[in-house]
Amino acid sequence: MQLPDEQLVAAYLDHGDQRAFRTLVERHQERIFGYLLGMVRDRETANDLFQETFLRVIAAMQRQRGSYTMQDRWLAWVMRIARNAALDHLRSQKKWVDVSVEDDDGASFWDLLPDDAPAIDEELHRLERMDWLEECIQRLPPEQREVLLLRHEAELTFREIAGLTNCSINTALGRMRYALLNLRRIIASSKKKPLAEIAEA
Amino acid sequence: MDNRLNILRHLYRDEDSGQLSSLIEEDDALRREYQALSEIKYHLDQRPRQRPDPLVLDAIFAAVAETDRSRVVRKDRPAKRPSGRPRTRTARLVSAMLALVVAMGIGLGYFLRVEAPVSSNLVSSTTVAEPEAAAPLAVVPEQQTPVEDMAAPPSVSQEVAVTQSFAPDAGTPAPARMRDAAVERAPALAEQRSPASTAREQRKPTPVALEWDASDEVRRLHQRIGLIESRSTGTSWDAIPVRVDVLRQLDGGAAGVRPATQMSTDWDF
Repeated sequence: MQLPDEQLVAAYLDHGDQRAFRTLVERHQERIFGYLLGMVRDRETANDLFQETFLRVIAAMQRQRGSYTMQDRWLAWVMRIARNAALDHLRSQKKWVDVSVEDDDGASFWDLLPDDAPAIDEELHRLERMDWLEECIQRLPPEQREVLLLRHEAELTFREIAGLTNCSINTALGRMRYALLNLRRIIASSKKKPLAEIAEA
Repeated sequence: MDNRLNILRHLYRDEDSGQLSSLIEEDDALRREYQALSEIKYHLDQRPRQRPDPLVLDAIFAAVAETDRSRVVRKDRPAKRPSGRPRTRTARLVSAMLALVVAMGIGLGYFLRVEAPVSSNLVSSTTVAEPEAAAPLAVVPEQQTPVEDMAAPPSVSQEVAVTQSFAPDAGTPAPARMRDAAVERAPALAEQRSPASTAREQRKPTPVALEWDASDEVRRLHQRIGLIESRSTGTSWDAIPVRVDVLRQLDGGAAGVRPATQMSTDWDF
């Protein structure tokens, strides 16, 4: 039987139980690393950001720097740190532009694409290449890609995503909807082109 | 909330999406969107999960161990079990009395420490004054009048004796005479004093000046001067001047009154 996150966090904070902290890291490593890898698109950088994230987490939990309150889910709190680390990196690389959070309902120029895509099952199964899907995800607008990663990789709720990205829950849901629809359109439109051309793009 | 957004919540089982199932059955456009979104979600769910390198995990765990080594985990002291024997009223009273005694002892000790320097000063001053009281300046011991008897007028023999003792002796003025008397008494005083008081006395620059602080002597002297003045009748301003040698013959020799020619001029002011 798995102990819930809250008990493991309490065991580490109150008794310095390192095994509890190790369990937390191992339990959530895929969620956090998948989000970071999807954001920066480079495995080495994602590894560095993952390590930096947990060093910040350790410092905050031991009250050396910052503070940790057990009001929210521990994973959501760690994801906030991971997101800040990722955005700091992207800003330093000038690969991130903050979008306005005025209730834009997640709409973007991708919404203007005509939805004439056929079913994509055959193409995906035929290609059998998941990195193809990864390439398609990377072509999403940043705010939609981030919501998609936070939902699929980190498995945060839409309410947690809204709190993390500082927008309303409807905006988070709208961005997710457009992310899925646009991904479908990208896949459908790319099937008409050679694979190498898509990869170069 | 828009039903299209509710589709997402339904797909991801985020929250209760209410009557969405029936709406999807009825609304054709909604159903098509639901199918499109669920289709792409299915493919996203099939993506393999990514993990960080094991070396990164090792570095994190090493950092945790390192920081925990320097961290002091506070352990609460276990609560003491209360003793089964309840404290009686007598025990409380005894404890209170003991506390009171200790507090009073501390307070007494404090006050004694504070007053100690003052009392030592008093001891030193009385040590100096005692021999002077034992050996008055000019009064013969058997003629000494107690302080409480000063109001009564002295007898004639006493008066004469006192007057003679305070009269200028061989032309010596009063301050010089007192200083001489003190000088004469000094060896005797030195013999009477203890070594410690002698040492303190040596540190004092003018021990003679303390003689004027003897208020009994001063008061006695003042009263006798007044007595002499009341008995001298021919010394008023409008009295007929009488020569001193004649006055001595008339008066039978007034003590202390001498012709000016016999006075020495070695007044020592």
